[in-house]
Amino acid sequence: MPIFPPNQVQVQPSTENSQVDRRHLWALQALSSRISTASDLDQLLDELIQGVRSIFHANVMIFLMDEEKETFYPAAAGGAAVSSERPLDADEFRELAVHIGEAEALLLVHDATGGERSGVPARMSVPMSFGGRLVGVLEVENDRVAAFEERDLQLMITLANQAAAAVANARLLQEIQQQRRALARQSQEMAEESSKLEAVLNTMADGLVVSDLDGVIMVSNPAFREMAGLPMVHSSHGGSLAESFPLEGLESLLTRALETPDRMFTQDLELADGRVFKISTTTWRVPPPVVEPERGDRIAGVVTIFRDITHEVEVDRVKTAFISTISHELRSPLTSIVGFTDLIQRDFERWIVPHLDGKADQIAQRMVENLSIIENESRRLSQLIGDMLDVARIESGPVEGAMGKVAMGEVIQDAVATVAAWAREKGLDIQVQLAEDLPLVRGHYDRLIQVVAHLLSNAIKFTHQGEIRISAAVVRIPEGDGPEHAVPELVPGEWLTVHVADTGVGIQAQQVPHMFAKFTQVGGPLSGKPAGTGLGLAICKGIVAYHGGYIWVKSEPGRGSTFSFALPTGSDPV
Amino acid sequence: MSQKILIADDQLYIRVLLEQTLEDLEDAGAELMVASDGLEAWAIVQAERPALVILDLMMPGLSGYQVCERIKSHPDLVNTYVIMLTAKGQGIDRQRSVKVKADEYITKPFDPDFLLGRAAAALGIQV
Repeated sequence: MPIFPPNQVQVQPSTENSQVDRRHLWALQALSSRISTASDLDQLLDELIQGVRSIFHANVMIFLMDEEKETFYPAAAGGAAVSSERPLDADEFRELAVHIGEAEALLLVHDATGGERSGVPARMSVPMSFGGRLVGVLEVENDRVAAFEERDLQLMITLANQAAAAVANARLLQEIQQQRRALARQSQEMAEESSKLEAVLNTMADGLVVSDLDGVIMVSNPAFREMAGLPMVHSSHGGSLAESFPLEGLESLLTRALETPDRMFTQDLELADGRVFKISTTTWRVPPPVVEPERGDRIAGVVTIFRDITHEVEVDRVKTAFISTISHELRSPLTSIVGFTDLIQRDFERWIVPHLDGKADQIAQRMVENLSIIENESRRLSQLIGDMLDVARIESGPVEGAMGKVAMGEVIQDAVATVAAWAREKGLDIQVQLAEDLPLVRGHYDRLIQVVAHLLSNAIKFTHQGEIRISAAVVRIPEGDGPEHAVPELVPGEWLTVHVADTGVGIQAQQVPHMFAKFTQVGGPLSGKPAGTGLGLAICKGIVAYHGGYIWVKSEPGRGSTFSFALPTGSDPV
Repeated sequence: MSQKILIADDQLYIRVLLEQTLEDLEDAGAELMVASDGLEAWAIVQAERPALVILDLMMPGLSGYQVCERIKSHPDLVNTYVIMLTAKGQGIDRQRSVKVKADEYITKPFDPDFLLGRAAAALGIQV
């Protein structure tokens, strides 16, 4: 459908100074002064509409270009019910826009009554350009046919360009104001954010230091400054962290953090004055410059947290001493009871019994049996005290000795050696199967022997014929595996697993979930089953747990049980 | 010359128990001596040069560790066989026993026959 009916005139823009009469000059001047006082785009458009109306006594419309959508939208209108009676048709304007935009043509329609815009006898549509860019379209309409002349069109061109400049300026101003408001809002948000952070830093009990790549303090909180005896004002900025706080080992901890970014290193360090600190270090990063996001963020230094654990260390020491004393005090009388009972039994059997006969001999045999009951029960009591101390120790965390690198093969061999005699006595064979190249695990040698020896003892205790197999291997469970992977008890990662399998009596299914609870015994204490304290497996579970591992059991009543535990090898998950 | 055995424990009953336990060694010609605290033990060790010393850990005066350390760092006494009596399961006791170079540690409560066997072996006596 043609946009331009035949009775219209198109005029190419002309840069030559048009002859404008005095009326035009006066009108232009008036418009200039009106739009110069406008404070925002809406007011400006309003002034433009009023100004142009007063010149042409016609309906005026301004369409502005939406640069993002590349369309025009009606921005302002004035005159006899222009916008309401003749709503602007979007398609119509798209066509107009395309045409004006492409040809930069000016349009003067003398009589459009026959065209698609019925009822609009005369119209001038002029592009508003500024700096070579199309800003919008200025349009006037009159209901008189041929209401406009060529020189009106010339004036329109001047008006439109002036309006374009004004609109462009107003838009620029608007944009600047928006940016200023956004900036103000942003800096307010940043101020709030930083005051929150400062409140956290100022109130936290742990000392915190942010240092740069050279170990120079950039930020420190009051808790740190108090620990280090530095002035409470921010004067510590700029000093070296290692020099501000002469903790032996601190510097190497900072170096380690920088060598292995994004990992946290923790170590307990002691100050010359006896204070002990738990130090954690990790690297911090700064984002790349906004203009060069492709550079990525970079390591900017180390964040160090200082926790004063002097008191905890002292409590720990007292606790260890207490446990040690208690165990000694409880064991001494028991040692006498067990030892003397044994001696009495020995002497009795060796020196008295051979001289007895008849009734006296019968009674003597009963006395020997009763003595062995006292002896066995004393041993059980002693075991119980030992186990309870173990539970107390394990529940309050590992206290004695540091964890080291442990070869599980050696642990297993040592544990097997402690129970070998008993197994031989019962006619049971112990098979050991160790996978090659077992990795070392971080652990407590004696405690791990305790676990393995206990599982082996249990196996021997509940097995009357057959054999006991102990094996160790490495299991890798890939990240993202569902719960139905090879060892459902384990989460993804690399584990060293130990299995102790027997051909013993097995465990009833309903007892399996309670196997690792305290004071649980198969059959209960009065069932006449082998006696124990009911704490052994709870202790094993505690020891395995503080090694970061898991313990579990699978059993088939009558066929045997397999007790298993797994310790992390320290390798990252595959 | 008969071999001497020193028993050092601050508790009377344990001393008596140890004496009775080692009676068979006495019958085999060994001489038993007792000390009821660490200082007395150290004095007897220096004066009598026993071949075997059985030390309790916690004693007044000097602890079992301290006595052991003195014995093992003395050039004339270094060959004395030292058995430490420790509490069962106390890993730290065992580590310390190793540190002061004790020859053996036996946990309390002990089996008298076992202790007798170890003591006899240390002295090279058949019982």
